[in-house]
Amino acid sequence: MYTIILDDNKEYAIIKELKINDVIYTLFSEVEDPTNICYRKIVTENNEDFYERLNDENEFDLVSMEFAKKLLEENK
Amino acid sequence: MRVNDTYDEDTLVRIVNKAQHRNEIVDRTISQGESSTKTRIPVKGKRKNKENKIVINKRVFTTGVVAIGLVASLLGVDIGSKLQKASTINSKYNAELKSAQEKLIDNNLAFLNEKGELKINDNTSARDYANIATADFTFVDASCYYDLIDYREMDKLVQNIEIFNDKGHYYTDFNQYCRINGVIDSNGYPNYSMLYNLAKKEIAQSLNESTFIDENETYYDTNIGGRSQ
Repeated sequence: MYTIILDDNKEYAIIKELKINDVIYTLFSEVEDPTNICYRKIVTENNEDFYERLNDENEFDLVSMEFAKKLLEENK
Repeated sequence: MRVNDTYDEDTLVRIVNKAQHRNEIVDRTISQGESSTKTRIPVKGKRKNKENKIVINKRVFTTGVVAIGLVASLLGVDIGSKLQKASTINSKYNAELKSAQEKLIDNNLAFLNEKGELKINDNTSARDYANIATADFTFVDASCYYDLIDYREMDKLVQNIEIFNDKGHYYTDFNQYCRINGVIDSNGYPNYSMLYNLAKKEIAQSLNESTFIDENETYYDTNIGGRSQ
């Protein structure tokens, strides 16, 4: 599995990536406590990709809904 | 299990608890007003973790993420609620459509050709549809069969259906069926869109009344009560 230390200095496992409206979002789960999950989006600047927090709850709701739909589909 | 749960007090408490969990995830996810450049982490910083033998339980994550989605919808994210409901209704409709196709084949009214297309047999009669147009024939049935067969076959089919509140009298043709049931456009012609909408409304009502029971349905079961894991 791939992991990364995010901006809260905790190590997260990369669970799933999903492209929504041409933006790639990633679902993470904390290594120490897998029930702690969060999302980041990938932004590109100067040809380098970065994980960045979401802008607001509207974006969060959209992303969580799309991940939920995707995971529901996969678990049918 | 029933497709639709009622939201009793206990369920609502659990939903609120999930909502609190949602807030934690929101806090870990959304920018907190600081400069966005501070929260950027280079993607190239990820590494293959060979030491940790963490077993990521997919169902747990499905549960968590789906819970977020459901809670978001229940707490007023209208689009989520609509998507879920529409998805469930479409799923039900497709199941009914498949069932209708199987009935046509089972009753020797149709067959699947080599391309998998449904073809109606020649020389069918109204009597041949007797097993299909049963007493509890619904708008869902009408819409599904109209999806599968043409006008002439629909004429034969509805000749087996008694006109509501007019025992002993049967529809003469599909046009009359639509006219009597108000499924017509402003010119008095059968309107498929109206029929399809009535079918979807019928399914939605069935879901709301919990009369639609499907052992494989997972829509409302996924997480509202935090049950299944």
